[in-house]
Amino acid sequence: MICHLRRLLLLLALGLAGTPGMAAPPPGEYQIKAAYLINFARYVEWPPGRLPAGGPLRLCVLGRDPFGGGLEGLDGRQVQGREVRLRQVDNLEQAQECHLVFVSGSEERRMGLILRGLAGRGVLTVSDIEGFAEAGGGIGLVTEDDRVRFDINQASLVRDGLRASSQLLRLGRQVLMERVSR
Amino acid sequence: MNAGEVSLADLSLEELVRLDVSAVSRKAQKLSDTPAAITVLSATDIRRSGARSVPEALREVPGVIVAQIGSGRWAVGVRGAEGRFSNKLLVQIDGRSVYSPLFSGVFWEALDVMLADVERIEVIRGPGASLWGANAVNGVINIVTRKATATPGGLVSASVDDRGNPTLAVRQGISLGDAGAMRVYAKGSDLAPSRTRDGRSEPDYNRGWLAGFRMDGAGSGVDAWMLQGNTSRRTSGENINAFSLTGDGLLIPLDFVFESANLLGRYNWGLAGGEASLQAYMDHQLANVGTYGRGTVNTADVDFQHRLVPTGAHELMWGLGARMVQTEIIATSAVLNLSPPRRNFRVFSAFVQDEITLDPQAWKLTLGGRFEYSSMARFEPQPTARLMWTPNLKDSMWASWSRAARTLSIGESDASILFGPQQMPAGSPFPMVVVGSRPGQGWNRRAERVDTLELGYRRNLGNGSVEAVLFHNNYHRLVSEWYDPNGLILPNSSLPVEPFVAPLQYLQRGSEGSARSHGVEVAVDVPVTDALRLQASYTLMDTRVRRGADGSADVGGRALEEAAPQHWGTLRMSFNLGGGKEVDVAARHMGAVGAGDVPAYTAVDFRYAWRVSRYFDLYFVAQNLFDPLHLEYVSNFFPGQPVYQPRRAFIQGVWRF
Repeated sequence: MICHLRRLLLLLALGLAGTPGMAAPPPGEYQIKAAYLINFARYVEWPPGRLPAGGPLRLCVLGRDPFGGGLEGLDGRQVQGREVRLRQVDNLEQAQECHLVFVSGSEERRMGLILRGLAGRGVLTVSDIEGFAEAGGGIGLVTEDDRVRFDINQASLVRDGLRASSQLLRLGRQVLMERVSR
Repeated sequence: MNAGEVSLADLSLEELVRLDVSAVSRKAQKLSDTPAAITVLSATDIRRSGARSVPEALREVPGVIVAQIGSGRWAVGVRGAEGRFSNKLLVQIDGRSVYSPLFSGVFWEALDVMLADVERIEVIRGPGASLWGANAVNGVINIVTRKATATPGGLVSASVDDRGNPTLAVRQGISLGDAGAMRVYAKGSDLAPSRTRDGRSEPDYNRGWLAGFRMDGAGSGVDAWMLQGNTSRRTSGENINAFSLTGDGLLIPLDFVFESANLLGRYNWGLAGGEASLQAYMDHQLANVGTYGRGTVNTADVDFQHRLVPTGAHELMWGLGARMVQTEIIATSAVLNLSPPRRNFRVFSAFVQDEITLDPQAWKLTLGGRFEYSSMARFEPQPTARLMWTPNLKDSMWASWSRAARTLSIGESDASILFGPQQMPAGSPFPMVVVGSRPGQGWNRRAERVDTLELGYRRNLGNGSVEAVLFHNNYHRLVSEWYDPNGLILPNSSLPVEPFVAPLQYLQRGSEGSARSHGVEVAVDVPVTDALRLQASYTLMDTRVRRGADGSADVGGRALEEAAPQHWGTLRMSFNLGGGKEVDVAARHMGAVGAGDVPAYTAVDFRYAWRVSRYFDLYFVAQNLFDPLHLEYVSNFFPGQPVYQPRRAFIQGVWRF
């Protein structure tokens, strides 16, 4: 029952509960970005010390939430046998406790500071701030030709002990590789 | 509803990557956190505007006035202070100031950038002095180019207009392996001339080239370095209006050569848990004005900034800067005389800014100030206080008070200029006098000052935004000119230029002007349908001089009063036709300008773009569609011949590989 209700709420939140028979409007940018977040949680492996098996996965939004309630449907979802717990955080100390942090565009001015504060703490950082992956963030969401794509900074992920699945790496628009010694 | 639509969160990555977005949200989101009147033009905005130069791209920013005053020559102003040298507007490219200390302004005709590699242009209206330093009185324009790591490929952009004027730009990205990436670029252009009033002759020209490079460190860490340099040369020509002693109008052709070279490096690293950046640049600028003289400016600048880790409610930022400037103006005709001809000056500055969270997610107070010591000017503190209220996710309101200073240009401070003969009203003892301008005696040469109050409101509409800003400026110590009370200097053997035999009347320069201005700027950005976006902006403002008791002091203020239209607006419709085809229709209406009696005009621009393939884009742009010829502004610094802008069109191809 609860699950059913949640599903219904999610539908409302996603704005997809159109009249049957009518073509649903294409989803908005942040609905797609929310779906990406859950997929990143699915295709990235955290070090066991950081995220014990079966433990809850804390998905956080740092800064002003641009999803407009679109993330609420993710709270309590099961991903790889873990429960997703959604949290809104305001500062670095809180963000350091999360597993996946979406850095809101409102934090663009503090981006460097945030990336420094989260580096080496086993936090997957995701943002749609321009140049996020290049600046050392984990995954940057990029809107290009009316589609949302993503860039992966593999070096950042490796530094944090995160393992991106080959599928994730294959679908990334750009994969910034780890420094290879030649 | 079918199962496939149930939840986007259930879609796989493959499906997500291929999903079309109905409407892409705008920059409003991140700006909703900024207590200032900021507009950010993204690379897409710039591309869709059909702009081929920076001023053209600024045309749709509220509060910004852009007028073409010749071939590649522009008058750009923010909140009224328009002019050939927009002396109250600071312009920077990747942190390097392109504001010339010679004439207090930007030589737009000499400024060329690779627009294809510009990531964004930030336009901050209102004083930005507390962060960016002197001369950011009415606004700051920051041009930010893309990192070299973001431009790995090659690009060729070629365009030709309806009169055959070509522009060619080439860029190649080069991987530096572990070290990072680099790009090299070159651009050459021969810009379209303007027209005379009858629409037939072409009184001006502007051509030249630009070449440079940018290197960025590999993007794997948070420490980053960047090195860039570029060099350019442009030649341009125009006619100057003058009168002969018989009262006939004369056109004197004037040819300019601009050369520049610069090198800039920046390093960002972690410091005390926070983030620091150190930037240094060297810049050389040369302007040669026909047979009249030449000006050189050499600048060395070092800038350090440190953003500390937020502690409690405080988020602190501070910085130090040093700049050394060497200027030289060699006047080779008696029309211009500089005393002293050479200047060496140093500017040391410090700034601090504290962003205080009074109530998390709702109230924020920003206090800041910049303290500059210049060996050429008096100490001018430039403080700011900004309060921001964000009651919910959609709305934000802010209020601010700031004070900024504009240091006097070398020209204003040191030059004596002969404008040439001018006719006197009937009944005067002499029908003609030669008018000149020189620094007043005992002038203390203090910087111009502005106090600004602003009140702003922003509403985020999800896929769009509404923004309104009220502003009030109070200007003091504006540079002004008035007739020398000692009256006419009668002709004698020492008169500087033959065959002048008329008496000489000097204008004295001083810091006596004051003025107030206030106005409102509104910007709306709404998606009407999935395929159509509407963007509009409107600015209404009024500038008033404060009259002095003796009537002598209001000349400088009056120049400001008449320098810009009182209202202007823009409307853009952007259509996405699908299949990689875009249509943009933009209309703008500019009110009349008092100086030079420029009538109001309306212009409509059209742009069609077709992404033919992943590798090739084709653009067609037509400007001034329904208007055969119009005047936008009359150059106010040099008394240039008024030039008219005809209907224009160009076609452009962009290859990426």
